Amino acid sequence: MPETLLEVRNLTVNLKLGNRQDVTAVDGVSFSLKRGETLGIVGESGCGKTLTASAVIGLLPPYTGYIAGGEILFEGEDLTKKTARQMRAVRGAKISMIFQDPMSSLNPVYRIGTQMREALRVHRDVTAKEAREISAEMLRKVGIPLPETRLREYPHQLSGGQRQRVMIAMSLLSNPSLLIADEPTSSLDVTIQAQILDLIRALRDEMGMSVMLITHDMGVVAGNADKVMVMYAGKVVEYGTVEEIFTNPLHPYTQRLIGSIPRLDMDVEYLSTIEGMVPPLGQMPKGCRFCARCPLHTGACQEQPPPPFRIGEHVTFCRRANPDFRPPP
Amino acid sequence: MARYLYERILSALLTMFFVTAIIYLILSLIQGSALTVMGGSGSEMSAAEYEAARRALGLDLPVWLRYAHWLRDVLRGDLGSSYRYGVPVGEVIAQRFGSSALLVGTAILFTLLLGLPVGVMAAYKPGSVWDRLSSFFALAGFSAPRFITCIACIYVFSFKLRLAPPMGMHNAGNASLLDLIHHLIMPSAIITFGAMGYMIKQTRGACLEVFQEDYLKTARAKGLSEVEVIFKHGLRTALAPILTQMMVQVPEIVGSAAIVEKIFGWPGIGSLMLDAIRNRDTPLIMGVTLVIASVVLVANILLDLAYGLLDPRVRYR
Amino acid sequence: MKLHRKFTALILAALTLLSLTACGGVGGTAEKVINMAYTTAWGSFNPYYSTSTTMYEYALYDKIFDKLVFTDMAGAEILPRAAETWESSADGTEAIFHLNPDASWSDGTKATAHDWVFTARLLADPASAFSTRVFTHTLTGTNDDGALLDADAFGAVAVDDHTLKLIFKEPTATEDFLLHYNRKFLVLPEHLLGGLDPANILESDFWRKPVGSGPCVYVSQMTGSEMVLAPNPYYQLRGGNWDKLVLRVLDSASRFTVLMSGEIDQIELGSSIGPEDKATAEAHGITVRNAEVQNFFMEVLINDHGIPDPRIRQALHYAIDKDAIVGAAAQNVGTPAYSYEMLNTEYHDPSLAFPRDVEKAKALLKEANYDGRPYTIAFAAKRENIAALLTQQWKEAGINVEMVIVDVATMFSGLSSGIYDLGISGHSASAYSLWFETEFPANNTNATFSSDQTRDSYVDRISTTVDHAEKVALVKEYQKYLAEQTWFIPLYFAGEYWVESQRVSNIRNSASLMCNDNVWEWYVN
Repeated sequence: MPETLLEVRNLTVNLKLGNRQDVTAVDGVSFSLKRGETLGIVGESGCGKTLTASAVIGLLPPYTGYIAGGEILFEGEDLTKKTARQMRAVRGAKISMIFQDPMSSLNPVYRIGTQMREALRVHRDVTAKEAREISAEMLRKVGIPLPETRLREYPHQLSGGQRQRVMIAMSLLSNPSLLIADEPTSSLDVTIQAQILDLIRALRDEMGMSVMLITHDMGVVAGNADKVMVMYAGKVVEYGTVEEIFTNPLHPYTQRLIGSIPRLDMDVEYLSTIEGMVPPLGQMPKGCRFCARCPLHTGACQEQPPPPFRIGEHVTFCRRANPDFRPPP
Repeated sequence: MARYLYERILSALLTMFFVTAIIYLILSLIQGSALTVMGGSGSEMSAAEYEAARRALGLDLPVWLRYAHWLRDVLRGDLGSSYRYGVPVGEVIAQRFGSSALLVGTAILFTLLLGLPVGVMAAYKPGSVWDRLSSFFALAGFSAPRFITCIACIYVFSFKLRLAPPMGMHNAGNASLLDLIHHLIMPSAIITFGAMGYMIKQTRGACLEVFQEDYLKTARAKGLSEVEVIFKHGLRTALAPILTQMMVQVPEIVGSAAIVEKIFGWPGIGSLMLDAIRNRDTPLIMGVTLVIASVVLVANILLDLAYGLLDPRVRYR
Repeated sequence: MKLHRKFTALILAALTLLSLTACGGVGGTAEKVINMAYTTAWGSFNPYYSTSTTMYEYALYDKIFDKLVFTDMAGAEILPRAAETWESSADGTEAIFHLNPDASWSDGTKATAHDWVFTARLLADPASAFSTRVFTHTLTGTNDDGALLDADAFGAVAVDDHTLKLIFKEPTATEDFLLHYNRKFLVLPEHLLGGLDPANILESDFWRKPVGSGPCVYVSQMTGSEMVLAPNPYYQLRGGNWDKLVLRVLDSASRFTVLMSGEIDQIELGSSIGPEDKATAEAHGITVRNAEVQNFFMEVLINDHGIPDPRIRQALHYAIDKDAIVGAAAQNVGTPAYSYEMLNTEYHDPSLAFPRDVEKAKALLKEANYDGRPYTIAFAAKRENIAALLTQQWKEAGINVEMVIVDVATMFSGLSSGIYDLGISGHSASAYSLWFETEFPANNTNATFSSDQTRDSYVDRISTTVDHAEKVALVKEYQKYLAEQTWFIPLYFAGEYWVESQRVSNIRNSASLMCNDNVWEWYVN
């Protein structure tokens, strides 16, 4: 039975915003991830999904973001208790992260080979020759032809898709147990998107690692994740396996998200959207945060935060999801 | 690449031609010539001797012809003899070039050594103490007139505190390296102080842009230490635009060096130029002009090439 | 945060290193070095290369080449140097110098009267490439410019190895001759330069590494910046103990600070400081001495083509308040002057003085039909306070003068070409009655005043009068004439303060001002 690789309990991340008071951007988020699993974290911009992932890998924006509470248990150790130096040993070696925009994620003045060698050298001793061989092998694995030539080239000489493959290769050099992919395909065109996602899945199976896939696109999640966590305004609103979420979405927000995925067999004039906007940081309502935009909201929703409602592993934070819920008169 | 170099050298030569021609013209227009200096108060030149001297100096010929003669001689490798010192111009310049190179070189080195890190820190933590400090130095160094700084420093450090010698390159009879450094500190510090401000501002600006870039995130994600991230990935990428900004600073540094040299009695070509101007010593003035113009133009070309070396996006079209 | 600490540590380390070198400072050497500084660099090593050799250059030549005598106290004292004793013939046409038999060139060869004759011959040689003849026009056998006409009648003769005779065209007091020309008459070696063609003499390598019979030997130099000299072991006069004499060029802005810092033992021409700096210097433990004579002469030059009417020129003179100017420019350590004769000489005539009279000035202007046109006065920046006062005083008399700040070369050139009407200049006076004339000789191409027969006649007669009483009377007459013509306006004589070196004794500051230094007597304590 695959063991639990990562368990996050009640994670809270705050941001310093100038002279004003610190705001909470991630509020009591909990989830877990087993080895070999892919967790898709979905939500619109600003919901805190990137910050959650950044907190796990220890890459919160320096001097502005900090963990205000909760635990991050990775392979049994609490990462929040580690020093910066200890985290550096973890980052890039046990946990890797790739980012959205491959155009700017690689340093333009260094050769590909140099940057990959750097990734290796941080965590182990390799000679230049060994580094070259390992890097070339990894490039081959991610499907880049003529890897030796590529190593000597500069990023601007590669296409967008190739660069994202390089990023993936670089992140996998030290055989990490967890790969965090933050919107890895959002900047790429659709055909390449599918390729990259397939690649990630294949590598995951081959190397036995777990993946945290962050996206705003439910369609991406549908085909690539094992578990899904939907976030809204810094909180988890629904969490379950991908089948559970898609066959039985419990939270109104999730329902709307799924509903807004365009389908080829639909014939509609307008795509469905969700009206309204996310409440600004620091001005969160005391009740349910989705209340203002929810078609099912009640007075009780406004007053108090919704309690969790579970069906097995599937959990949602919505009063209306509970069939036993009776709106007050 | 070769073609680019060729174009640059050609344009540099053209610039050199114009610069020397214009300076020669200005020299001929200012009141007083070498002759006036020679035949000044206390002199006993008769009218005949004056005429003879005038012809010997070639002052009876039109300006453009005199310039043409000078140019012809230069192309043959002859810079002429100094009116004042009677020795070949090349010799005088060769004697004093080294000291200028030492002074300016040290100043540029420290401008980079001090200016770059301060600029980086200012960009890393905007609004912090470092940022405020950098703004202060930038403004102070940029605005303070060089000669006032020189005299103030001599007054405080040589006169009041007796910490550093007030003039010259070394104490006679003591040619040690330590003594040289002792004499070098104040003048090079003053030039550095003046140039550092601009460098800090440029570095800060370039780094602010670079620090937003995603590849810094990637570098951190790899597990690199913060220092490595800031310098190997941040500063290194910002270096290209920063160094090309130096192109603007090179003539400014050379110019301010002349003033500092004069006040500190530093035997360089800057003070040589100032003295030559005062003595209306045309061959020497033209010789030094040639040297300084060459240095600036060569520096520009080198910095241009450096940009190519530092930023491969430029190199591989 | 880590970064910040590393950086601060680096700065602290650098500062510590710097302060160590500061403490280390100057290593002690066994050599006794004397440092002298000048605000202007010397030119070539050839005393006869240019006609406008400055005082600074003469000060250098003085050390390498020998002169007949050593003058001090603005000429009141004349001491032996190459010559031990000297006398005039009865009719005053001959001067005989008995040379010191120990005189030697720095290469060991003995220096004799033949070298002096050789030098004079070279100066007089019509084919010589030298720019100046200095004094040969006073000797027989030459024309008015000093070029040789008759070799046999040439007025420089070596009676024997150690006796030099100069024969003048006109009777000349030996003291006058020395006061006038000693500064510029330096002896050159016949054994090294004798074989050369005088027309090509400037190309000789001798001028790169000169050999002189003066108290110093040239060792090395950084052109325009520093010169190292060693003592001439064969010099005929003894007394000093130094091993190296270093001449350095210094910026005039740092003059005072450098003097105070003790880095330099002697600053050009006497280590003088202005009265305003005396208190500061003494507060620093520096010994300051009064100059024995007031010998710095300041005057207003007038371009007499621009202002041809002597009445206007006189008006300019009457309108000036010299006491105010002395107060502003010389801090009251000065005396208003009405002629250029030094105050401690017999030539000085107090009756020439007059108080400021603006009304008289106005009257003279009216008489001359002054049309109110503005005049321009050009001056170097350091004379600005004088110019400002003058302009203001002239305005009160109704004369408009515009001020222009220029450098010295531009001022002289502008005065002679007529661009400027007035100028301000200062000179070191001497006891020689006609010292001022040597600054502005009649045929000078930079002359601000045109030639005048009466003037020439006076100068002639004064220089040929040997009888002292007669000369004094003539000089006074001449000064009266000059006052009437007012080709220039004497402003004042100023005195100076000398800074006494703590490290080196026997320095004669006032002699330094006359471009000769008694370096052979200098003693490092």
